[in-house]
Amino acid sequence: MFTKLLKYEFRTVKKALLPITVAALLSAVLGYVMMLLVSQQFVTQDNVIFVFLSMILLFGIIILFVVYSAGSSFYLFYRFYKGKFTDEGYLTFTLPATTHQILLASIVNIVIWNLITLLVVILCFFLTFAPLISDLVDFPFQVFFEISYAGNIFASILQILGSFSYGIILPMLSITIGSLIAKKHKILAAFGIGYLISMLVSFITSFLSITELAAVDSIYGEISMDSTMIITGILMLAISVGGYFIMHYLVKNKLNI
Amino acid sequence: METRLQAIALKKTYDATKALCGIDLSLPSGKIIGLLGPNGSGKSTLVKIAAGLLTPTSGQMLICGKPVGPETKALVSYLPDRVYFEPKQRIIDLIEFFQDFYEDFDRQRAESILGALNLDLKSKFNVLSKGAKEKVQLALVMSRRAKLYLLDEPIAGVDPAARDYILNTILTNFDPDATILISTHLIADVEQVLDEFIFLHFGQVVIHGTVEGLKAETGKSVDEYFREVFRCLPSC
Repeated sequence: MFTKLLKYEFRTVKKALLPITVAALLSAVLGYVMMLLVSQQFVTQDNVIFVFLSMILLFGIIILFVVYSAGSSFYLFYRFYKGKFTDEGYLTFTLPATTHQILLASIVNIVIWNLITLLVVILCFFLTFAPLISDLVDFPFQVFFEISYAGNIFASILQILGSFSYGIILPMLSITIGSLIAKKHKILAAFGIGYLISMLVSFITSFLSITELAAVDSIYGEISMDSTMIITGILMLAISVGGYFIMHYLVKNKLNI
Repeated sequence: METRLQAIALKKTYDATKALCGIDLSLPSGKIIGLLGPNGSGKSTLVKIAAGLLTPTSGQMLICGKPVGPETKALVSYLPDRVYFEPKQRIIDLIEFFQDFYEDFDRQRAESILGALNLDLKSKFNVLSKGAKEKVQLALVMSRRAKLYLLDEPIAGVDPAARDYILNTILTNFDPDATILISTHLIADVEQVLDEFIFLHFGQVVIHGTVEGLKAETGKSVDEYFREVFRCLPSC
């Protein structure tokens, strides 16, 4: 049943996101050609206007990537809202599936599409800027190893996993709570709930980080980022797991569509 | 005769509003039953609990002897009182969806019912008229060989010709082993197909009887009796 749910979730999202993914990739190809022309023989006194126009086009393409990335994310959560908390929920929640299967299918679908979007955005940036910076291929690895300095990959992975899961569960939980408490303007309510939860989490993580940093400082006389990253990573993972179970409880027992 | 639906001291409250006030009900197999009552009497709430869309505040709902859950959802075919399919899907996609999720779905029956409507199966759902959308939904719901059909206001909002089509579809696809619960306030239109009726008022069962028994006892139609009963009860 889970596989069937996931198949239909994926298929529904694909209808909307596949065309814009292809559009983003085509724009990247266009950007690549423009950059190639700009970076080679065309940068002379005679074609300043061409270069100027190319730069504007390039800027537009970069904006498109950002819009694509943000828009995909927004659409995924909007589909979650539509499929569960509007009239379409009448079909979703009368399927012979458990609440866990329904929610997990949505989560896995969002994870898959987020990863696809991330890969496409990275690919688009690389493709667009490849003619200018050949060293760019190493860039993400450099950044990763700089963040996870001195081989503390564990802390970095924990931080990435925590942020990623938190970034998925928080909007889903906010949509769930917003849809259950608001009779009208459910999306607005979801934004409000999301803002409140993220404020609370920020406060807690800041407090823990400060406490941790102070403790490390007093003991070793220097500040370590690792323990802070581990703590926030674990905290975000814990909030994600807790958020999932709260969402499950609300959908199973308090759903009212 | 097996019991298809059983409600035991079933209560549902929304904040301070009592939608169902301790309902006890037992519906046998092989019957078409009208769940009748004025707006706000708790009809949709009762149907939604049976479909697994709402959780009761207290009490129990059993479908074929099992508590409501994924297992009973496989036995229940539910038609809500609204358009509930993803609008951009084609009719053929919806057929495939039902076939994928419901083991009891009879594709041939669905195609036969839809064929009679002269609808192109490749048409998108959102381009259909309101009446056509409701007919497609009904066709898919009635194409399941379910144990219990829950039809919430299936004829509200459609023209008289469409009502006849809907009732005819219900009758011609009725499996004698199944039970159909039709929730409506348009009693005169559905009365002809009913075996039993339940009057619901303020979340309580006022009367549960057979149409034949009512006629024999009072000489009145269900519609006439409904008007008489609800004239005497406090207004909503």
